[in-house]
Amino acid sequence: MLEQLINGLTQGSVYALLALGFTIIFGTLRMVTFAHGEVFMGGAYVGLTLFTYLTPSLPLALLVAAVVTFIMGALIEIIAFRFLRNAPHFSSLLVTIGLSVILINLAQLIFGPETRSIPPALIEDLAFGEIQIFGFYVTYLQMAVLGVAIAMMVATYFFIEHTPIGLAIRATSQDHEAAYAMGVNVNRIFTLTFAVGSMMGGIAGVLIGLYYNVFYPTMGILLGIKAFSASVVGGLVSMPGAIIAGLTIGVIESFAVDFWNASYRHLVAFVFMIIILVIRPAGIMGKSGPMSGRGD
Amino acid sequence: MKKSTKGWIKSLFAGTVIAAGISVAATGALAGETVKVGVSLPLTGDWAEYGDFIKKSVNMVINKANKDGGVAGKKIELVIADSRGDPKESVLIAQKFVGNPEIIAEIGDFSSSSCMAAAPIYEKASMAQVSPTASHPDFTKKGKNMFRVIGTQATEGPYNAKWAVEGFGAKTVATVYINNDWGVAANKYFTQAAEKLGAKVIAQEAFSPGEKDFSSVMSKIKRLNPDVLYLPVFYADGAAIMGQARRLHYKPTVLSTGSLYSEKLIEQGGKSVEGVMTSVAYFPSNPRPESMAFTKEFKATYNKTPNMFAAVGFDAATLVVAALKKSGAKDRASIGKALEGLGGLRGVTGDFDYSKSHDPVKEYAKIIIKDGKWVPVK
Amino acid sequence: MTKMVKELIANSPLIGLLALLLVIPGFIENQYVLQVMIFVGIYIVLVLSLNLLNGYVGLLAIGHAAFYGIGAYASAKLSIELGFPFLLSFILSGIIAGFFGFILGRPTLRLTGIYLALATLGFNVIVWLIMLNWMDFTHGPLGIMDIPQPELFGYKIESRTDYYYLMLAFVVLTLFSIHRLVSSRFGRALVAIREDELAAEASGIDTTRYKVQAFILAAFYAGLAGSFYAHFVKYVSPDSFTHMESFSILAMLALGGGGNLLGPVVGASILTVVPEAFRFLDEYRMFMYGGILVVMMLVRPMGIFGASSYSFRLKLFDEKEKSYDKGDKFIDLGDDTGGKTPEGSA
Repeated sequence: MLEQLINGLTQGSVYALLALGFTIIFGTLRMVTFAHGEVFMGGAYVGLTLFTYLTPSLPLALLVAAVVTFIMGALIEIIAFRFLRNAPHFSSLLVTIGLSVILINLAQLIFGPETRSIPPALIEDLAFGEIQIFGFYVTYLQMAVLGVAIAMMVATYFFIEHTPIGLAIRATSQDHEAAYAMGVNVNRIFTLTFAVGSMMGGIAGVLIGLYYNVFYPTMGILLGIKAFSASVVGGLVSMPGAIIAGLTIGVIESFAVDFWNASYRHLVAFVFMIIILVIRPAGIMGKSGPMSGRGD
Repeated sequence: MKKSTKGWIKSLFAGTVIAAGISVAATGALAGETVKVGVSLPLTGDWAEYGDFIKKSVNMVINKANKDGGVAGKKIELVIADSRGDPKESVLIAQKFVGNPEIIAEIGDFSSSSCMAAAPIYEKASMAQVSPTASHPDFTKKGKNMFRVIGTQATEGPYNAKWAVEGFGAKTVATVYINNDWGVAANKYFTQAAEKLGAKVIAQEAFSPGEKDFSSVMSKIKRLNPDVLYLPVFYADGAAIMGQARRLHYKPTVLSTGSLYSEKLIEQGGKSVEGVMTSVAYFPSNPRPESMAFTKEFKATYNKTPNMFAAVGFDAATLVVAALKKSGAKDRASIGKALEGLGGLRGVTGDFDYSKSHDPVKEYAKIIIKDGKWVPVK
Repeated sequence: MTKMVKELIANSPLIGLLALLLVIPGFIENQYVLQVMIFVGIYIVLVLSLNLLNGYVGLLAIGHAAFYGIGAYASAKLSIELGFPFLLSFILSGIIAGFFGFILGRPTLRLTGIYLALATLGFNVIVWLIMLNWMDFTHGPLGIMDIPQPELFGYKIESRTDYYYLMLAFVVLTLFSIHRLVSSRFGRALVAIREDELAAEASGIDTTRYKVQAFILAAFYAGLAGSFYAHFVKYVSPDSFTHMESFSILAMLALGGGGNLLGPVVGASILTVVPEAFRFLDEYRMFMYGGILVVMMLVRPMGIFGASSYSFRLKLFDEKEKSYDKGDKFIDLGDDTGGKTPEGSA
């Protein structure tokens, strides 16, 4: 059973990382994006390309993927949101859906429709090298996934809470108008926040891509909406909430597979999400948390 | 008054848009000394990679046939459509093909559900639907113009069950299968046969298409520890499943269907897939001359090693070309009859004799991954 | 007399269009074109029904394929297993879908904006997963085959032309009934809720009741469309009712523009016909689709006919136009209670 717990935590930390990206974006812009799963896919393909054709180095892949998805995020924000700042939210939503369709097909064009993998020999040590904890095996990659996820969460927390830009982001997230009046360049903050949120998606992409070692153009669809639900369960605006919700969903899923059947695992996240929405729309963490930004 | 003028313009505009769209959609094809064959396959979406292999093979066969002078003095032209793996799309495509009088036969679709959804339309138009991959037993019962290249689940499943129970003396079996029309049928026919042979089925785990986390399900299988694990999955998932099992220090005895056979499985799975066994109707080192010729030609054309999907795609196209030649490529109804009359055409994945049944009888070979290579089981 | 003539002239484009649509099958030999037009019809009904929620009440529901699917499966089950005639299973599947609309609408009613959007999306995924996994009832991914063809008053609907006329009747009836609905007191109440829910409530409109009713109606029409789809394609499988399908319906509404009846018709027509017309592009076709969405939304964010009959604009920022404006109240995000309407905030 401990094995299922580790499985669940690893999977959950990925949900958490993706949900965190969502939460940062939503917390500030009050907008959602349906292209998040595709940014994640983009990050994963960056990892694949670097590992296969350049050098199998995890830090390098993470760095490059972060830069690439940061730029992707900024572009998506500008196209889907900045251009449409005065338009209905609906339009932005649709543009992100359109962009996700384009990104999926772009990936199919560049990398081919087939499922691709990094030659296993290149990541043999990373993926299968392991240490034993209490009689259970944990691979280096599993530790890297957990470690990077935690590091990202902590770094984001400090970025938001303890830097001048973070202050501007918090101010903007609480009241766009007031922030503008105080001289914050709201447009720039929006783009920056979106880019940072996307970057987290990209990093999650590298980690998950390596962890499962499968890369395909539609890989972001299911995970994208999964991360959504984790984000909602966490309250949509609360960073700790997103993390706890992501991990919880990951663990419950693992146990659901064990006690029930593998095919029903995805129900967990969505049923959980609807229950939370109905009984406690503010999410499991309520209104607390640094990004709560509800003007209170 | 102003309002109604506005309404006028709007209605007019709406009407024009619709009309323009439809006329674009309806533009016919060019006439000429060609005969057209429709190809309906998933070229985008989750199944794109398998559709792509089939498409490559079909293109190869048709190009070659055209180079050799075509059929009955006419060049064959392919009309390729993307069905995205959605049965509704296949229905639309079927109607489109049927509506084009120049198209006289069809190759495709990929999934059994797509083929069966489109079947009534082809059947009504007496157009042959030659599916490379539809393995659901009911597919060919949908009409006398339905043909399949692959063996049905009703023969492959029991074959593998026998292999598991009698070959390995398995008392307990478990399955992990992909939750689509194919995987469900594959699982059903295997487990039924295995139970009949006296084995106990201790777990049947389905996973959604697109799923990549198998660690939880493999932890469960590891705990249950069946004698044989049956994996009716596609190779892309197969590599992920075995990799994650290895991470859990679990090394099951794995049997699978021909869908798992691919060089890609070894490329992606590396050490994790050592010892995986499948029954196949095609593999490159098969001494069957047709297989060897096909493997060579495919490699030369696309610089890729073909797999089972490429092989059945090749056979489907070969069958259609042969039927076109035999019938003189005149009308639709003659193609189905010609296919039935081909009697023992030697293909890559076996011999095709549709005279009694539209389900070809396959001979399966058992292969295993040993030292990073697919080799026959001794 | 003159009034009647005037009305006739004013309505002549519509009458002309209807007349054209009535005679068109006589001129089209290609059954495929008719088939595409039938699908256009199905999507018109779907988009019109979604429009009730998104356009008129201003709710953001993005899981409409769930009701579409429920209707399709219900109709398939009713006519195959219980042998119900077409018309009965058609109506019943609408009612069943409407019931699910109630099930989803009632508890999620307090939610607004993106919270409701996510609840509907989640509902869509759950419905899809159940269709995919409940083998005994839905046959899972195999879907339900051999759905009988409709029979109306002893007449078998068989050819595409038959289906076309059935579709045309269905669309016209839907258009007519929804037009009656939205121009009645009911419709005005919906618009009032959209424009200012608090004010609507203050002036005695039972907002809860109207919203639930709108939800039920939207689901009802979507269920009817599902039933028609099932009897037309004669085959249903979960693949046709994923959240991507919901997004397609949403895209049609966005493209045409909500809050009126013309937008959905045009949006559904364009986004059904254009991808068909570009089928020859194979792998590149979906680029087109994504491209149309992005470009159209950037050029006309309210959709083609969206802005003309009413404004989606956010009243919060209406007076003072500034570059950072979020711009709309179409989605209500900015209250303090995680998406609850103020009544729940106590």
